[in-house]
Order: sequence, then C-alpha cells, then structure tokens
Amino acid sequence: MTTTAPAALDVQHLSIRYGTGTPVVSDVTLSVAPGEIVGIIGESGCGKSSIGFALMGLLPGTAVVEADALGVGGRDMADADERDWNGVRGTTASMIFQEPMSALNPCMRIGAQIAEVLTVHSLASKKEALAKAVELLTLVQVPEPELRAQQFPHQLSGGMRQRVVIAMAMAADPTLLIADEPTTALDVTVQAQILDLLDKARRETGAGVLLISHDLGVIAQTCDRVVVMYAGQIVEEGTPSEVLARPSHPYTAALVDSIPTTHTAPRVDLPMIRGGVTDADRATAGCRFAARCAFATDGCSAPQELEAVEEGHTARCWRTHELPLSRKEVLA
Amino acid sequence: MAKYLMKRLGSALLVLFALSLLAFAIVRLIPGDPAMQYLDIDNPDPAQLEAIREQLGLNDPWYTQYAQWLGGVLHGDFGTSLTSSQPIGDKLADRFPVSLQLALIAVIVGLAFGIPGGVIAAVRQGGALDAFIRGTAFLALSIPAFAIGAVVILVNSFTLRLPLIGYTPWSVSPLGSITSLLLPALILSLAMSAVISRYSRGTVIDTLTQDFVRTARSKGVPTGTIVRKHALRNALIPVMTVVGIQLAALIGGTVVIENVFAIPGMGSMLIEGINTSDYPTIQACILVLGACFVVINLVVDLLYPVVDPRVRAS
Repeated sequence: MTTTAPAALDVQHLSIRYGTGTPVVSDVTLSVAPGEIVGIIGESGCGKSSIGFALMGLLPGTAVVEADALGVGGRDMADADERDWNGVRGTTASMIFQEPMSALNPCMRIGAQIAEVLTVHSLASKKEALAKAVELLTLVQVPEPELRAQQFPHQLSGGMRQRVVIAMAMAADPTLLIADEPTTALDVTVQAQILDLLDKARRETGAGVLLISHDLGVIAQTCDRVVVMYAGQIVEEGTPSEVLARPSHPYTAALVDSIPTTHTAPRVDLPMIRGGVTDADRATAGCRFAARCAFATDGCSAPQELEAVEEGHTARCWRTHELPLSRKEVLA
Repeated sequence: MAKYLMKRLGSALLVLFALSLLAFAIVRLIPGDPAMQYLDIDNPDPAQLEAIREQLGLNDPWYTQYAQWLGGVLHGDFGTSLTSSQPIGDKLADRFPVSLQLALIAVIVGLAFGIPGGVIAAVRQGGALDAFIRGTAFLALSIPAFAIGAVVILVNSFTLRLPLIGYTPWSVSPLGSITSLLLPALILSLAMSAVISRYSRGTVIDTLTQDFVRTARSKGVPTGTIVRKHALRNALIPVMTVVGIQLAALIGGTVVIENVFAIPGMGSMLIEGINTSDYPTIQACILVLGACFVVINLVVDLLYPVVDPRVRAS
C-alpha cells in the first residue's frame, strides 16, 4: 500500500471574522508539508494569531470561521464541533504559546501536565505517561528531568517552561505543530535554543511546523517557506531567501528595510512604516496597504491577486515588476 | 516555609493581644457603673456602692484591672458573671460548642450548594442556568435569615407542628444534636451559599480565561475535565478566605436565629450580657468571638501552602 502522507496543513480560502465585524483574516490559502517549517509574519493585528487559533479550534465563540477546506493532519475540520476538535488537539495538531510564564497550570506538577496529553487521549496508562513525560523532558534538553517532572511551574525559568510546553506539544507525535510567537517572551540566547528545538522536533517526528512570528530574524533563521500577511491577507509568499532578499511587495520591502543591520549608521533613525492598519483597510476591495504605501497610484484601488514573481514566489501587487524594491529606496 | 508559619503565628498573637485591649477598653467606655447592678437604682447607698466597687476591683487603676483580667484569661478564668455569680468560663464552655456546631453545619451546607452553584453558573455563563442561579442567590441574600426562620416556624405551628425549636446537646445525642440544628443551619446557609456561589462564579470565570486553561484545551482535554482538574483548584484558593471569614462571622453573628429557634449560643450570651451590663461576660464574649476570627484566619493562612504550591515556595 503506497499512500503519500497527507499534508500537515491544507487550508483553502480561510476567512475569520468576529461577530459582524470586518474580517480579520480573508481568503487565506496555506499549506504545510510534513517536516516543513512555514513561517507567517506580519505586524500585530494582521490576523496571524487568529489563523493559529483557528487551526486548533481555539477561537472564542464569537468568531466565525469559514473555509473551503481546513485540513489539519489530513482531517478536514471545516465543520468540526468541539468533540471533533478534542480528538485532534494534542494528538494530530498541537500548539506552543507565546507566554510560557502563564501557559502552565500553577497547581499541577510538570510531569503530570505533560502526561495528561497522553492519558486524556488514552494513549498510555498514567504510569507509562509519567515515564514518557520524563523522556520528553530529556528530549527537550531539560536538565534533571526526573526532578523537574516532580516540580511546579513556578520553580522553572521561562526558557525551561517553554521547553516543557514544547515537550507537551510533542508528546503525542502530532502531524502539525503550531508555534505562536514561541520565542517572543524569551531572552535572545534562549530564543536560539528554542528554535533549534523546533527544528529538531520536525526532523525527528516529521511534523509540519507553522511558525507564527513578527520577528524577521526568527523566520529567516528557521523557515523553509515564509508567508507575509498584511491586514488579514497574504501579500507575499516564498522561501525566506527570495522573500527577504528580493521582496516583491512594498510592505515586505518596508518590513525588511526597518531591520537594523550592522551597516546601519549610528544615530540615524531607522526607516519605519508610518500609521497602522484600519478597519477601512481591511474592508477595501483594492490593495490594503495602499494607504501606507510609498508607491500607491490610482490603479491600486483595483482588486489585487497573488501572482507569481518567480518560481515558488508570489506577491499581491500589480506594480511589483515596475517597482524599484531594493532596500533604501522603498520609503523615499 | 518555616518563616511563613512563624510570621502568620506572630501576627495572630499580636492581633489577639490588641483584641484583648480593645475588648477591655470598649466595656470601660460604656457609660454607667457596673456596681449599680447590685443596688437600688433610685436610692443607692454610697457606702455599699463603694464596697462593691472595691470588691469588683473597679477602684484599681485600669492597667491593674487589665493585667488581672488577662492573667485570669490566660489561665482559663474569665471571671464571674455579675448577674448569676457563676464562672463565665463554664457558661462559655456550654455556649461556644453550640455556636460552633451551628456555624459549621451552616458552612458545610453553604459549601455544598455554593461551590457547585458557582461553578455551574460560571461554566454556563450568560445562559439560563447562570441567570437562575444568580437570581436565586440574589434572593437568598436579600431575605434576612430571621425572617425566613420566623415564617418557617409560624407555618409549621399551623400545619405540621414538627418540633423545630430547641437544642439537643451533643453529649445527649450527637445525631439528635445535629438534627436539632439542621433547620436553623439551613436557613443561615442560604445567605452563605449565595455569597459562596457568587464569589466562586467570579473566580471560576476568571480562571477559565487564563492561559493555562487554553493550554489544557490545546491538549484536547474536554471542558468538564478542564473545570474539574485545572480550573477548580486555582479558582477555589481565594474562596477559602471568604469561607473562613463567613465561618467566623457565623459563630457570633447568629443572635436572632438563636432567639427564633431557642438555641443557647454565643450570640444570645453576648446580648444577655449587654442587656444586664454584665461587663465581664461582654468582655469574655468579645474576646472569644474575636479570637475565632483570628484562629480561623490563621487556619486559612496555614491551608494556603497546602493547596497553592506557589505559596509553599516563597
């Protein structure tokens, strides 16, 4: 029997809105292959976290999620109810959160919290699960795993707790690992270790990883593919080297341009993208970045499609081929 | 941890000391001469008055009186009642267990209804069940216990004629003792349940919005298990304090219910003392009731590290 492994993630035309408001995510199509790390990048409020939570069925009840397909680990969850989701969460898909300090139950021992993933899905007896928890702590390089398993969260540092969260996410060998800003709350030195761990996790388990971040450095360092989001839409997609070296959407270019480098002159203000995303931007039929774009013309009010700029590299800007989108000139 | 215990114990002792001063002072500040209790109010004999004052030690400086009283209390001697000439300690030994028993039954019943009520209301937040529980709690809070007690007794006297009034001592029959307090305890627990359910509803709702609950959901833990295994313990830690205060308040705060049901408790002892200007009795009651607050709060403080590992560490 030869069947190809299903995609870790296969989302077709996903839209999310809260109540009757303007959509926070519109028409996002996204896939993650097994063993692949795909990054979603964008500023706060671009909808990237909403996507992560939607893929776990963790959005609040007021959220309206519409999708032609919401394939999580080969299961279509587009019309799933809470019971269906409980079968998927922790086993098929699991999540790593931004805030390790509050992500763990303060009144429950570390080992028991990890073991719960296995016992709640009846994958192991309580005793086996606790033994597996110690194994997992070893895997995520927590020193003295037996001791740590007996401790409570407040006895561990932030980096250590994030390792625990990762151990928990990996416990049941999920097909899809969603990491929502996993390193934002951590020291820079710990950040690299956590990213290494994610990389190790996907190599050892073959899980697909969706890495949500606002940090271009994190994305560039870790991802096989990157999706740039703006105001709820994908505006550019490709490999990190293509997207970051040859940004083809003015927003991506501006984003890249605002990173300080070793070449940045001292005491010179970094370029920044002025203003913010408004509801009007999200509702417009045309380019959503137009109001903040240095290159906007009348033609930008027409609907924009994601189009290929080169093989495996797409951008949602009709002027992309005529724009001088190299660094420095972007925000002239 | 040892430091935490010592600190709590130390502050409890300090509060008890301040309380004894306060109980002593309050009684001294009440206008009127206790010695007059023994005399014809309209025509006191000054010589007799002086003799009684001397006998009661009322002519000593206040600090001598205080030291003597406190010294006695520390040896279990609360002095002698001015009205009955009996040791107050004996009366306390009769009355206190009754009040404690009444308060404990009321708290147990209050917890039995309050916690599940609060948790269900929280889980069904905004739903019909939540509205029902909150409405019932509001009603229970707004009707005074003595009113319900009076109505129950009145209705009973016209209809079933059950023996609802009176108290069977524990020494006579433990079961009979509990059943004799069940109705008044039930009535007292109405407000108690209401307070506990409202408070625990709040803490459970608060806990359910916390990040670690979302983590549990992301592990695939079903909602019921999340509430039981993750939210409840965290949510009930602050409820413990409220229950402790309620329990302490119930021990001395049930005067009216004690009267309605003819229960010989602390509340009625205090009121009798006040009505007859029996200052040693008043002093003893204030001290004992205050000590209940201190001791119960101390017990709650000592329970914190047991239920909350974060307190254990610090």
